[in-house]
Amino acid sequence: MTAIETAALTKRYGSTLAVNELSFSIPSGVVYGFLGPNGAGKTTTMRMLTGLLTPTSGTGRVGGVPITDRDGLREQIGYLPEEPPLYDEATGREQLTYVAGLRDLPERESQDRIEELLGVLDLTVDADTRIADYSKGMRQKVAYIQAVLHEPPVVFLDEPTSGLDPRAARTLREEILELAANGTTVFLSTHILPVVEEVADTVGILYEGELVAEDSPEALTGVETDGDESLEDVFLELTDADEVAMDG
Amino acid sequence: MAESGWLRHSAEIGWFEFRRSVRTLRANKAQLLLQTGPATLFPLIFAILAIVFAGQLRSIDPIALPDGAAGYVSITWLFMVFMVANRTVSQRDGIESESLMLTTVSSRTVAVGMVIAELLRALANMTGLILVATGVSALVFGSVAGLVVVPVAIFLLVGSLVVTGQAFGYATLLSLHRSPFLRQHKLVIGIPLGLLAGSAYPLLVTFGSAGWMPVGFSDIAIFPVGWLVDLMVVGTPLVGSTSRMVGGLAFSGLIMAGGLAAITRLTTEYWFGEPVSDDSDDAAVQPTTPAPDARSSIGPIAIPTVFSQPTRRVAEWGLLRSIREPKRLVYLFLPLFIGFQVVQVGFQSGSLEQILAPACAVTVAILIGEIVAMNPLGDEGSMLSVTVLAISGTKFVRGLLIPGILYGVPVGMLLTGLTAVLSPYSITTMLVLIAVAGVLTAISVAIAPAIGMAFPRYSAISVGRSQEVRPPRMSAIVLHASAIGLPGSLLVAFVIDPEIARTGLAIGLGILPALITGLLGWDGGASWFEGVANAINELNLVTAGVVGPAALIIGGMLAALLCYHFAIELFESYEFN
Repeated sequence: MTAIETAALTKRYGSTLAVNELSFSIPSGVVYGFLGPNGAGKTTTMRMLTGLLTPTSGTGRVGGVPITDRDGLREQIGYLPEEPPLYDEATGREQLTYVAGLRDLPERESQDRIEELLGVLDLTVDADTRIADYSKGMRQKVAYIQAVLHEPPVVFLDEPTSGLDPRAARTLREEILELAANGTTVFLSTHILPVVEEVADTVGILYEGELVAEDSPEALTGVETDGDESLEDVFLELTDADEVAMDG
Repeated sequence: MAESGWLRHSAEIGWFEFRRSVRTLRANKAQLLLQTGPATLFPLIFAILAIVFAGQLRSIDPIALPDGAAGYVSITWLFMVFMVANRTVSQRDGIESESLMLTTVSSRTVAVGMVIAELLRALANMTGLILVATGVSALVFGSVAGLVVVPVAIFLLVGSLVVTGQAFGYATLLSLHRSPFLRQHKLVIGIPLGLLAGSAYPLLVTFGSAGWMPVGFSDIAIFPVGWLVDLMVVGTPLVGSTSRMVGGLAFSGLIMAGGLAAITRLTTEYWFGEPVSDDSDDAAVQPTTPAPDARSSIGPIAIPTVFSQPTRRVAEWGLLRSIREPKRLVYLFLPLFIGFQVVQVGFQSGSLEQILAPACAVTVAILIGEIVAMNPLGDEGSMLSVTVLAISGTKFVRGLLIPGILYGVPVGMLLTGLTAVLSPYSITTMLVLIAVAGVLTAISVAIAPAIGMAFPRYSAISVGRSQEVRPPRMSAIVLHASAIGLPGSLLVAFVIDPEIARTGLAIGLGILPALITGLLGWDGGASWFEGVANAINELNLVTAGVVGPAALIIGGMLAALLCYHFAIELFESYEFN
């Protein structure tokens, strides 16, 4: 079953083409690593797929719901933007209870799930501390919990491990794999290539608004054909302006 | 230890910070207008009056400067010290890029630089006044000394109040830094103290001159800073005391020198000192008590379960945010100030009893409307993407309206009722005024989200150390206050005296436009507007007294309904470009 699909998805800001006729299809239950240099159009694509931005042209569906139907998308997606979306004035537990309430989740079940996720991510002790006093890693963890609290079929994660210490980063990577194992589709945008190599089933590389490569990490790095390139080598090759021009 | 050339560095920091403030102000046209408008308009009016009455002013015989003048200057000085201290605590407790600055120059350099910046901001606001006062002294009274003494006296007044205010501000911050007790109870202690200090000035100015207060201006004239007024009037028919002049100069000089030394010391301890931990030994052995959740934190202000859970959460959070971060409500000062000015005019014209209840109905309606939802999108901050994806526009907007409708409307009616009891109006008029207060508050609450969403502020401003808030844009506040204040004033005028309302309507819709079109040379327009004014003035008072309020209320309710749907539409169609 297809979790995310787009057809000629395009976003233009005046004369600037941010995303150009993007077409891809992501099956359910996979981790899709979405790579690209700064300014490639990754965040714009994620915003279009989450209904936060209207495409200039083209179509897209997430969980079978058109991306222009924001009401329909609400139950289908969880989104963790690059900047953790949190209220500094709230405590971690209040924040999560609040978001559970906004999503109209049953109170008892949502409280149980909040406690469970706080425990898994080692936040129980600090759950009643104001978010203003949290470290970057703690903020990222709370933001991650609120993105998956309602158990959406599709989760969009924008740089989820950025700024985390190795232990916290590993915990989050394990959580991502756990999500996928339970059938959730994870759309993962990051610059940390080892993370993608470790968790992604498929990798899409975006460059200047266009999808220039899409395959499994093994196929891209040539492991399957006895090649010896790393994902970093492949990424740099595909997103090097001079080489792309020569190939073109 | 300060580096060599620290004073020059301080001057450079002060000038740089001042220029940054000017650029920020220029970027916000509404705030620029609000700040420069009065600072230009009032001196201009004084200048015109001085030119028109120059002959009469010159013919005044020399008279002794009354004590009350020094008292008035002193009390204004004290109030401005409070304002500067408040600004220091809430907005300017440290320099931008603090880590860079404090590793580049000494803390004394930075501290004095910030004093210079604040002094320049204050003087920039007073440029018009300084020019007009100097001009009147020199040109109208022919005093060459005025060219020097007026700017010097104003500089010393402003300089001493800036230094004193900043010293008090840093002392407050340092106390909060060092005392867990003060930090824990800062709101309980700070809010009453702030209200007391903030209201002392307007109360003294309004009622002190009438002898209603135990302390009058003459009593406060013993405070030496006020004696600078004796210096300011040199060369005019007002004759000051030479000894007080010298005393004022010496005292303000002492304050500035002592204040700068205190600021240097306080800032060094504040910027480099570690805050004392809140953890006591007792706390360490006690089990952690979970912080109350949002619902229990707002205490008795509960949101009934008849509303959906998402709507309740938005309502509860809006209230909780205001309770936890009351500093973000500082913008309410503007409508409060305007309301107070109306009451002050009523007092001075001897009609306080008549004006208090109608002024309360309109002012409280504006204030309640502006508490929760004047910047709903900006208030969400980084959470906006989550909120937009988690909740529908209808539930979100309803959540914003509920606290105001549920609790604000009764509060508005109650306060209007209490003030109406003091009025000379009949029971019927009082009851109608109370009902009008309820309707006005409901409309005010209903239109606020749409205005706040149409004029959002996303960029945070720093309030206190590391605390960022997003107050509404000044344009949103002015638009909302005008949208309720102007028709609301007309409405209450119709209730208490239809004839006054009719005259006001004729002036607003007929006479003023006729005057403007006449000045522009469009005679046809002027005569048409005169016709409008005449037609309004000929309206039957009974008809006007019924049709006027009815039209205003129906219009207001329609506007509220449209704004409600507009706010939902704005939320639903919000995009992250």
